Amino acid sequence: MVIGGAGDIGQGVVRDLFENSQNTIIIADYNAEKAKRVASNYSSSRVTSEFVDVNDLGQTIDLLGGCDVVVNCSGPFYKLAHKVLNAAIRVGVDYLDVCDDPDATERLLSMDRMAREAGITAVVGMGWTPGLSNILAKRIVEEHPDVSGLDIHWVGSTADAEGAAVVKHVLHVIQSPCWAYHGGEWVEVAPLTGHREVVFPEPIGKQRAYYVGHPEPLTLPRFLKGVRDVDLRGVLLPPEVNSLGELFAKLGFIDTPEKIDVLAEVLRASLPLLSKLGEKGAIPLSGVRVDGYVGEGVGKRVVASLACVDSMQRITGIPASVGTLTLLGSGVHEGGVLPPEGAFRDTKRFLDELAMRDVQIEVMAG
Amino acid sequence: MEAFRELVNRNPLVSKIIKGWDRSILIQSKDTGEAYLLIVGQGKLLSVGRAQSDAPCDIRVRASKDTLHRMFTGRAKSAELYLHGAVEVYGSPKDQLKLDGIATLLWG
Repeated sequence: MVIGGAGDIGQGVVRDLFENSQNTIIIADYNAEKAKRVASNYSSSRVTSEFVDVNDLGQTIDLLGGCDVVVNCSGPFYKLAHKVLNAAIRVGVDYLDVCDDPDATERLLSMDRMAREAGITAVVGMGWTPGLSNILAKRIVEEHPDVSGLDIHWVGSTADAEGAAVVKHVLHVIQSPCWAYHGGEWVEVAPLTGHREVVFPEPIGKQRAYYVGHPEPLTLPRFLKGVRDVDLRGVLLPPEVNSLGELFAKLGFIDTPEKIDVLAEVLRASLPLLSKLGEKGAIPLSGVRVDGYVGEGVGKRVVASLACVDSMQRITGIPASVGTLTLLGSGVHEGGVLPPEGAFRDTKRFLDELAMRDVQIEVMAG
Repeated sequence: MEAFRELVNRNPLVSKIIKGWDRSILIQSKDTGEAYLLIVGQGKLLSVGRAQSDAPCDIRVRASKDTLHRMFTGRAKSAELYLHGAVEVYGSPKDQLKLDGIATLLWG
């Protein structure tokens, strides 16, 4: 079952699951009409639709009975993710999501014991970032065991985003506590500070990225031994949108979930307009780059750098689908709540699966 | 239009944008009634062919023949033509942004 399966990212998951497995897929969504429409596009008895309200625990539990795995694409995750995992634990169904909020991730990880007692595996944050970013980080550390630090960067295009949930996520993470891992300790850094020029694969190229709150600095050090530094920076395109976000934060427009809800609806409708800000506007592509390095300060030396640029739907939906199929095939360290780097044993196979779907990982010059 | 197809398929950056974006696009000339159907799939512009002006499609683009010619040869910017009302685009906002992105990568 794909919850939020009629949304932009959910549709990407459903499409890949349909094309690369023989599983029966239930598209469960609050927007029942849209779910029905999306399911009908497949003209296959393998794809059906259901209404779901994840705020209704009883209804969600009823729906999950009989499923082998639930994929949660229903954001914003800081509001909803724990509700779906709670239902999965109660029913005893394996779980995977594309949660990208750090506070929600902590909350999900804190449900580990409940998940173990229920005998389920829950993989949290298995999309683009976190998700692909974690797999790339783990791959780098496997190939270069001397790596002591990881720099993770993402770029998201307003021309590549569709749903309100992604807007709410961005507004949430630019005003929430933001964590980095420095010298073996977690430290709080101010969002939208610590800027750095980062080169992404073309056509995105060089961008200025900033600290934003994301789960990777919280989870990677727990599973990648020897890593003592993890930083995460993100940037929205066109770059003018970042200044707009900073302004909203300064004006106090996004300091409560209720304010974010209101502003997100306005901004969602304005995404086509926002994507045209600046001289060039935004290309409808998003990306991630992970650098692994040794040393620190002036002695810091990047030893490996992997990156990927693709549409947000593909770069999020396909890793989530590959993760789901791996989970179903028991290619996962079983039991409890795990981030991708803790869950998936074989990163090479995972990346091979992505390559088969034309998700290209590029080796960048340090 | 065949030259346009080759131009699109030769550009690896455009291929990145249209990967997984399977759409049919109907290009209509408002003054002559001519219409062409573009089929996008497998990360390529698969085909371009004459079509009925009411052919089923995901996206519909309408303009005068001269405007369409200038747009598809890169002599006029599609975003500007759209903003000035010279081109009408009927499709989802996301699809329109894809078209903008393709034009930007092809002609700057």
